[in-house]
Amino acid sequence: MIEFSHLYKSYDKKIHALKDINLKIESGEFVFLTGPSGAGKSTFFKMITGYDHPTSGKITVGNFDLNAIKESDLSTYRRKLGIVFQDFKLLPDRTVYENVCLPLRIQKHHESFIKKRALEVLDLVGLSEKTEQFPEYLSGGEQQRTAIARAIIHQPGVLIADEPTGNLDPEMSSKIIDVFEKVCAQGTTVVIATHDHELVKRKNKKVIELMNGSVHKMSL
Amino acid sequence: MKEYQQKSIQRVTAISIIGATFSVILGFYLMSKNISHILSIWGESNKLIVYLESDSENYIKRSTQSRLEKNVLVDKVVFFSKEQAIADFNAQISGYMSGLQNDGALLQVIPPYFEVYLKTEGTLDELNAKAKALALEIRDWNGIEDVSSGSLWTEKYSRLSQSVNAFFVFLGLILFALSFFVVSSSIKSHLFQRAKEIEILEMIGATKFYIQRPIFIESLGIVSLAFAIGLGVNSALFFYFNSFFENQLKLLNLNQVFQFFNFLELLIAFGVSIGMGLLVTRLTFSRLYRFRHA
Repeated sequence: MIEFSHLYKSYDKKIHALKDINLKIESGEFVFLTGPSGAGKSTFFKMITGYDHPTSGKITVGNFDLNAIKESDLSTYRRKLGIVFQDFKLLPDRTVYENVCLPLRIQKHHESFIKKRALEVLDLVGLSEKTEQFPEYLSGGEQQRTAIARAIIHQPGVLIADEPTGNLDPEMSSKIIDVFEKVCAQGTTVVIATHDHELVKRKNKKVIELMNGSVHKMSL
Repeated sequence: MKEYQQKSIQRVTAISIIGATFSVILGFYLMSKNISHILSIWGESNKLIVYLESDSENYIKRSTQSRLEKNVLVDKVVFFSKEQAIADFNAQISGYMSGLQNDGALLQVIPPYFEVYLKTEGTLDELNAKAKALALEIRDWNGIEDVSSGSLWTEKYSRLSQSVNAFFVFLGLILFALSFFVVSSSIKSHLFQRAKEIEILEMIGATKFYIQRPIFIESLGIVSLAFAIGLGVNSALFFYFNSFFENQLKLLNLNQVFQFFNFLELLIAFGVSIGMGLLVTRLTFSRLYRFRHA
């Protein structure tokens, strides 16, 4: 469960990126986070990932109180997350396969298990033929799918994706959302930031709309 | 250029820069060590020349030699008879003032003498003081015309040697500080270029240990290779200069006194280099985290 309680985030006491956010996302829920650029979606994600701390208010993800989390516990917490960054954040000197394997390698899983899972998720996102390619030889959509495969390989408790279908054609977008739904069906909480209103309408999931740093609308 | 190739280039650049720095500082140490060593070798032939009166009897020579040999400060006594002294004088002078060889009156005043080698215990200053005191004592002995201790020259020499050593220590400290700065800048630049990679690993749950371990190992590798380059360059220069002195300046016998690093020096230098690399990596990590969270 993700819970924001009277959460504020300001930069230099002038820019109020998030204002009095109060919301609850239940475990296993599928949520779309929408809103125009500058609405606070990225700051919202930074709060959930523990990359930044709130100015005031409280944020809890599962058993982790992110206001009070120790630096040493942050890595344990992040292992329970799957993150798809808007700019993918792939390691350029590692192949698709190596990038995808990273979360399991960090968690010191056995190499045979890592290989099995990596091939499964690469097949799921349609990148079975690109395993030995370096990211710079991939198209934007392929890089995005690599980032998605990396985010789901360890079956995270919470999956956060920032514009995960931004570089994909409608057919691939639909496939990727199907993948997210499958992950969600296995108990993962999925939060997806998107501008794709058609997709949001079509999927008929819970939507949190941010506007000027506040929750403008929340609908099921 | 491909990003994974850039990473290799960054490594090679860091190794080259740090290798050049180590070459300079190891070379400087080797040079200062050898100059100090040569100065101390040249300075250690501390001796007195004890001139007997020209017409002194044989028993004066024997008693003087006996007293000199019994002195606790004396290591060795070598006697040069009047004939040997004249022969030495002629040999030295023949090349450029041959006319003097035939000056019978001049040759007659050349006295027999003792070369008295002192024990080389203590510093140059202590040796000078002992030589001076002994020279004063010997001057009062029967049948002694003069005693040359060369103390003025050795005092100046001692001061020169001390100044040279102090200069080397001073320059060494400056060079060490500069090398720390260069090593620090190279590793910092290398690490900051990997900031994105570190951030990604952090975001997917890597512990600090997981992130830092390969980078520390890489820094150790870079510093070790750079040290090997520095050592290689200095070995080659040492070999070259040794051959040069052996072939071109044989007279000075420098090739026999030139010294390379001993095992302990190498061990200390390597340890200091590794320590520097680890410290710089640690400081850079702290700075990287501060920089990112600022």
